[in-house]
Amino acid sequence: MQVLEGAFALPVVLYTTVGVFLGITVGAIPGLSGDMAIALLLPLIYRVSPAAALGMLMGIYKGSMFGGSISAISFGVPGTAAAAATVEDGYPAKLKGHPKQAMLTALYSSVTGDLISTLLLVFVAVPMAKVALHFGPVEFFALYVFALMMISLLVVGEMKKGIAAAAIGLFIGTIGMDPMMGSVRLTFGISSLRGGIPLIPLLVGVFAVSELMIQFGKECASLSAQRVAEDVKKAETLVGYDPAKDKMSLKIYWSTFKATLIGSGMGTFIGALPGAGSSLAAFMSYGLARKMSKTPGEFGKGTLEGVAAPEAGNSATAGASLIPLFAFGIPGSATAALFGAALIMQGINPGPMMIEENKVIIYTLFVIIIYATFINLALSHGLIPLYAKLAQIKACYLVPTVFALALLGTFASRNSLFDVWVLLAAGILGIYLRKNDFPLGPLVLGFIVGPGAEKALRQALLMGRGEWMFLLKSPIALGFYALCILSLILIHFSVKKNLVEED
Amino acid sequence: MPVENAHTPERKTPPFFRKPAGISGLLLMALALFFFSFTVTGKWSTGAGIGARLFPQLSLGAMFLTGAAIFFSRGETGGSKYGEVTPLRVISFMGLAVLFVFGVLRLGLAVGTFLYLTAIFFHFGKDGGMVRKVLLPALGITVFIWGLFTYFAQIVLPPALLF
Repeated sequence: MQVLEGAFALPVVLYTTVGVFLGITVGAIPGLSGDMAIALLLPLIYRVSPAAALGMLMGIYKGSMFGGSISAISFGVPGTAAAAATVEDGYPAKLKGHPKQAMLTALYSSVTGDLISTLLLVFVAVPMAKVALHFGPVEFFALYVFALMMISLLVVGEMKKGIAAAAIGLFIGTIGMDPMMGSVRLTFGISSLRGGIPLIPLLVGVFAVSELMIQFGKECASLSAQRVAEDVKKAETLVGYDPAKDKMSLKIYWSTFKATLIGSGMGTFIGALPGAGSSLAAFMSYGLARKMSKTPGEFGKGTLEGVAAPEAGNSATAGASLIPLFAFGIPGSATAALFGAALIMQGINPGPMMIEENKVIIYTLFVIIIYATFINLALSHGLIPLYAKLAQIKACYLVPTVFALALLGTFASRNSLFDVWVLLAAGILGIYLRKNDFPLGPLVLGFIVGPGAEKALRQALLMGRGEWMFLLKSPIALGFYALCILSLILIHFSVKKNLVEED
Repeated sequence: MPVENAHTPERKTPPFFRKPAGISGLLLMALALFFFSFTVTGKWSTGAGIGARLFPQLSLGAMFLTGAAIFFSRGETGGSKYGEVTPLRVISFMGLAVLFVFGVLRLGLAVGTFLYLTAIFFHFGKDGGMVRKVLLPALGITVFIWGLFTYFAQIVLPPALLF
């Protein structure tokens, strides 16, 4: 009863609704993302109650997953990286005269995938956390190694750059006092660094400021001006568009249901793996749905199955990526890492004890996560035409505004100028890494899990009196190491196979 | 009829500069070595299992090795997507950020934000009319940001000298 009262309190519902609205909005604007919005809001929500704050962030996460598909289908410009796979069939479907069907298929499959993954989170996280309660430092260290390995290997792009980014994150995480004995490391006499690199400025800098700098480098134009102009031209030639032939029906939804289920399954599985993000889930769902389709030749030509699968896939990562965070305290994705940061700011420490120690708030959060899906459905349904226009907002107004919010929010969170310098330095690091195609997710995850991994390793070695072989004495730990080796082999062969296919 | 690009001399770019991935790999290696030297000389605790220096050394080792792998990898170029982001633009962006923060601290949230936005919008939108393209959007967004901080987040910034 206490859970339901907390979840359905008016401020909580309002904050969640605002979060969903913001999420769809940033998702619909190419160049902005859910991660960026969550990072920007982190410093602003620490005064709000935990349920309202977390509901808002969850709303942003869910909203942005569908929001990205709006501009992908309307203009062929993915609003977020996760919606890139949706362009393949969403945009051709629109050009074929089915924009409404494509948009609503994206929405319904997105909501279905999200709901399946959320239910899995609710039913799996609690038992998994109970299992994790029996983990000691040896098992936790093995789990951290597995998570870091997956984070680095499953990035979209080059594997070695993923590992390099994770190593940079781990190293940045070691700056400041060491977690066991309090030795001050690598501070170079800067007293503000004794407590380590602050999390919020690093997150906002790496995710938001670096992206804003890239946008700032462009001319003052619509973010997708060229594609929109092309689209308008094509729309003019779309003579004979018949709204009557573009109606959504249960039959159409049912015809894409198999693809939706494939996407939901794939997205939930990939989302639950530490490090694999929603883009990978979307592309893998698309590929699998094409392979399993009765009409694979129609993919790429505007089939609605090609819209349903990636949308269900990317949205299904939302709930699933929180499973490792809730059960073990290890974020499953960059967004989950931001969510973990928000939990820490609210005084809730992610880890196996989290659910046990914060039963009411966590179960309240589960209820919010479920009803946020329906708020997403209702809001998106009514506002799709309005959101489609958001892609035309001029970057010269958007970028300075968001940048001002990033600077003010970061400064105001602790009234510290040092945080502003960290933000700008993280922004420069972020832009350098983006420019050289390094993934940013592994860096942030490495930074967040690094101190925990070091602590677990040192505790384990203390227990084993400095014997490194002690790390291999637990069967659970051995299982994680075996999984690491297996993943390495599988990924090595899949990369090799892809290279042969490309040749 | 002139043939397009007929007389364009073929530029002989040194391989090192033709491969930005090589530069980033080298930079990673250099940074790893630089910080590694501090982990060796630092007076850190040696207790609690492995001591305080091993974990930073492990992460720096991973940085160095992946840097080497990137440096010696073949074919990757990188940087093509964000080619327009030049160091000058990054510096001007940072400069604006610093000016904005000090502006807010000296002149207050509303005035500082309004001046910053006006300056940027003027730079971008001066051809479209001062009031419609510059002042009105700057004023509207300032009110939005002020409301967001003052009423929504209830954040109190340190009192400024002017307001």
